[in-house]
Amino acid sequence: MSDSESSASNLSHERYVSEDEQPSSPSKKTQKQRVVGQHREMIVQTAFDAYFTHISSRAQTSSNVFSALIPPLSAEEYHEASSSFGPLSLKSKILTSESTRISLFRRMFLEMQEGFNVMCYGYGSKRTMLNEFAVNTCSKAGHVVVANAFQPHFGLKELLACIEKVPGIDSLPLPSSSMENQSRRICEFFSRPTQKRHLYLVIHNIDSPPLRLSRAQTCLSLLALHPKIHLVASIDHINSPLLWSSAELSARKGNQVEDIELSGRGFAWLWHDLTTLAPYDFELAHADRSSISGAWGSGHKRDAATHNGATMVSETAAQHILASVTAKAKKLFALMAEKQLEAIASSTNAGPADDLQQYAVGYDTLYHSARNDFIATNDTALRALLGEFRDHALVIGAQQGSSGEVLWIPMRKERLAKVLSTLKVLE
Amino acid sequence: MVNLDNSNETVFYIPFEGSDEEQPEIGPEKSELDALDGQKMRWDAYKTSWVKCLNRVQALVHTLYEPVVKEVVEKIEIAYDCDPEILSALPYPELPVIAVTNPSTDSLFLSSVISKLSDENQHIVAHLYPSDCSNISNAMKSIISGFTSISGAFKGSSRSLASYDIGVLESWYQAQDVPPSKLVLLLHDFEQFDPGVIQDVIHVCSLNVPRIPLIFLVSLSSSQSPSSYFHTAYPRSTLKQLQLKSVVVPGGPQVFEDIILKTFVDLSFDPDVVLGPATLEHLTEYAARFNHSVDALLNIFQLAHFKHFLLNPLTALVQSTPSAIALEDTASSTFCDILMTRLNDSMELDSDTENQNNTKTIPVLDMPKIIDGERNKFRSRVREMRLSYRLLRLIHEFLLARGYKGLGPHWGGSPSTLNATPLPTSTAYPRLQIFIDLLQRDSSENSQASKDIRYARILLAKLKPEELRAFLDDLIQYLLGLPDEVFDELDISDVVGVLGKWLEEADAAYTVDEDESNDVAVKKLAERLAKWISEYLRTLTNSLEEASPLWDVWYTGMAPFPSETVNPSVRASVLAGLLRPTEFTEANDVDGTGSKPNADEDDDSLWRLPDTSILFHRYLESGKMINVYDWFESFHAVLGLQRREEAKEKEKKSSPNTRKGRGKSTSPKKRRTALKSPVKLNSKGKAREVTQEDEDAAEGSKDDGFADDEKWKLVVQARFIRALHELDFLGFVKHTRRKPDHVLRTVFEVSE
Repeated sequence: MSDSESSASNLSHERYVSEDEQPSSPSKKTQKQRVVGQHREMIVQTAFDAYFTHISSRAQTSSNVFSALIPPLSAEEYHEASSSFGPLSLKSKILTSESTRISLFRRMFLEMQEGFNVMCYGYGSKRTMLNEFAVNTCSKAGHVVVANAFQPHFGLKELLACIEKVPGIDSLPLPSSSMENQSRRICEFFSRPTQKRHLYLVIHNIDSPPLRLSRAQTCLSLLALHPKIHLVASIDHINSPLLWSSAELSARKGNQVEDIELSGRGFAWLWHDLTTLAPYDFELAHADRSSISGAWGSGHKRDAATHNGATMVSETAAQHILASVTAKAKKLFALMAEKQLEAIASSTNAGPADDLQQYAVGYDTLYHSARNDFIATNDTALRALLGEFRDHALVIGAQQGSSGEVLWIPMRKERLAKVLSTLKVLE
Repeated sequence: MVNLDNSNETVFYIPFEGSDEEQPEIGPEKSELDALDGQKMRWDAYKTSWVKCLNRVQALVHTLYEPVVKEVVEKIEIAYDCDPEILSALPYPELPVIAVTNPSTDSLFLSSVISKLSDENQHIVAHLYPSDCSNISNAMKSIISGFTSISGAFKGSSRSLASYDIGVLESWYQAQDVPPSKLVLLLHDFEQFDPGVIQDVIHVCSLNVPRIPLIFLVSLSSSQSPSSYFHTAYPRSTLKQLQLKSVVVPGGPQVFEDIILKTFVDLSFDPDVVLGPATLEHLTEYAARFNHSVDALLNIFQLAHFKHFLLNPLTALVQSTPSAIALEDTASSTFCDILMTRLNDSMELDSDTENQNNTKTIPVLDMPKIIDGERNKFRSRVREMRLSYRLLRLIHEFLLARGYKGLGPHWGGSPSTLNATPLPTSTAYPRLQIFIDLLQRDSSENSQASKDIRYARILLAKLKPEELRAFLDDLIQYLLGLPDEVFDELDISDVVGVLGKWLEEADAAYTVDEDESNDVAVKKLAERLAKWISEYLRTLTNSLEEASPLWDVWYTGMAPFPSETVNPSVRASVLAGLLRPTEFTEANDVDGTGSKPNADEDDDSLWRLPDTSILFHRYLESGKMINVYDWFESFHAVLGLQRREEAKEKEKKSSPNTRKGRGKSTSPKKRRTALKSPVKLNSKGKAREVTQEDEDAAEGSKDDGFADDEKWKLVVQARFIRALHELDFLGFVKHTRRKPDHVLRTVFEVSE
């Protein structure tokens, strides 16, 4: 679909041709120089070249491991940090100029009346824009169904069920509850000459994994070519135009449909660049911010590298746990926290490696200190106290070489200090 | 009101709350230049002209398809009526399969076949799509329910057979009061079916014919002969069960070109809006590179019409002129003014300096008449243009028939060699290209059309006496055969008169005994004719843009076709949005009127961009594999710079004179460090150094506390993760397990 690659090579070709046609310069020397210059300019690196250069070379990267060096963000931490992101610094014209927006909406609406479906692409979240279009324009002309297909638990079945909320559809017989039959019934309903109102389907991210399935595409293509059903959709993935064949892209809606089967299948998209530059915060609200591969929902397996699946414990979580344990357990926690803070403070290697395991306290050391402070008189008692914390992942243990088990609290130092101070106040 | 921001819901329904009677206002955007009711007039004009064009194309396609549709229907009709003697030799009955190749992949052909089958012949047609056939039981279920659901009445609760059992279909067929004579199964996009599944389907079905009169109608789109697909994809064990017949639907570039020429270059049809060379050229390129189906053609025609009427308020005049009263209305004053200026300008040009004094020459009352006149004038100019194409073709074909080369290879070879050798031209649509050339003929004499006309003149001047007579005869016959309205409008009778006189002269010269003087006379005659023809063609092909002051009402001219609406460059747009986001902002549009704090500074600096753009810039600088940690560090460095720069800007704003020196001394160095690519930060030591430096600088300049610094780190990490997830969402990142915490690049565009 994209012409960018070929256009790049065309560009270089054109440049070459146009310079060739230039009249020759007076002196031979300058002419030669020019030729050299021409050739240098003629070689314009294209995306193909870049690809082959990269693929032919060996990938040399450092051995730093992100998740080992930087503890993952907890949801609370991310939320806290996101409050300081500040407002959107750049807004595209379509967001700032109302007149541009209105005329674009008007044009899109006209195109839909003329038998096309509208597809929006471009960088930036288009959700608010399309919702505005749905509410302000489409809802005045007919029934509107808006689908957030980017959500991980979205399925076409839900979309079809929602369309069936249009009064009257469920009065038609449904041979079986398969998606194909459902979409066929919807088409039948809208084909009735008495049905004056059209249906406007707004699908955010029609390129989302659940809608990429061929079964979902079949149902959508049936709906999309119905003259009384209009689709407005958005895509974000750069390769999503590959979803459809040329025949599907150029299929046309009939003027009236006597038989659904006669109408053919396809999408009849007209494309609009709707670059908003807005962040995808809503689309990625479900993303697992603690993992670098969390953008595609929880379906992906966590990276094995995030230690034992341990995530950082937030302040409130720690306080909840501490509120429900015995005084002795609290003491033990305070002891561990102090030791950990000491270790952090005394460490000279304050680099970015916030790996908390290096500040862990050995089980034996802890046992001795605990016995001295009369927290636990024997090993069993200490293990019982620790058990409570381990169950809630407030204390993490790991075997470390010959020194036996080490234990640490998965909290950043400032958080830990805060929790510790509240503990002391309570005492 | 529905809350569309509720993240717990995935689908929202907004019910329509108006009454069924009221219709939403549909029409183009109101322009200041519109006349009274101009919006509606434009929209109506669009509808009329588009429907006219659409009907023409559809009529052409129908005539094209009709014989083939008939053939298919006939084949279905006789499918089981074969001579029993032939069949008796077979050990088992064959399953009739009719394979239809339709290279233009539009639904028009199939829908006309289906409507013919079900309306006239009372056959039942069921459809099967590739997505229905993931396995044999699904396929059989779809086939059976496809047939049985049509009658609707077949729903026995006592049914004991499985829903995929062909016995269901048989009993349904026998239970029909008036059994349909044939059951036609239409398999769409046959190449996409899994041959393994279809083999089984064919086996099951062939066991049950002719008890169930099943016929497979197979729709293929590959351009080679339909049976060859069967022979390559299916084993002989399957083929022996089939009685394969194939039909090829006309299609391909030639048919496509024919349709365009018959719509826009035919003298018997006048489209309301004439497409200009820009649109036609785009059409040929699109068809040659992507898709030459009739649907694609119609889409492009429709969009060209749509755009034409949407943008130009004058297009309200395409078919009809508003009354003088409507034009006098104050609402149409601007509209009238434009018309007035346009018409006056041309009149001044015509009459040069004679009546310079009266600037406002046209009274509004005369306006409708003048506009109608312009419309007729333009129409006859368009007809002349088309006539020129026909005449040149006539000359070319005449020359070819006489064994000459004709007007050149781009005009096509003789019909006998046409099929043998591919055309030596660069374009896939040579005939259309010639018409485009004619539309673009300018006075510079260098255009292709001018060259063709010159060449025609040279060749005609060299005709032998007998050929000259034959040519004149052909020409007169052709002109006399023109449609009456064209004949009258273009004053063809005068032309025929002149030509007739020359024909007589040529006859006289030819019949008189061969003589030196006669030869000279004939030669002179040929030269005269050649000169006349070339001049006539030149007048006919005068630019349409000069035909009328209101030419842009009926002609799209060089206005580019909005190709990005049918063939967008999604990738390029996303990349541009990431690399140069400022280009999409309004401030960039309206020559930077101080909406940015520092318009004078170098606005391209990386730290001014949004987070995702910064991260993407770094992405483009890296190798095929990216270490996420190093990526993060390089991002961190830019954010550090951003933080300092922003603080500096704030400082500058609050106290413009203080601490100026310090900022100057640190800035260039820091910027350089910060802009180093992650590749360079590869070695751990270096990376450490940079961040250390950064942190020191941040701490030094801001004198922040410990907690603040920690918080900053968290914010940076959150921003990094957010930007990374966005890039992942857009498809720029591929995760790999080859190396811990590494990602693969998917895009290798160069950033310049």
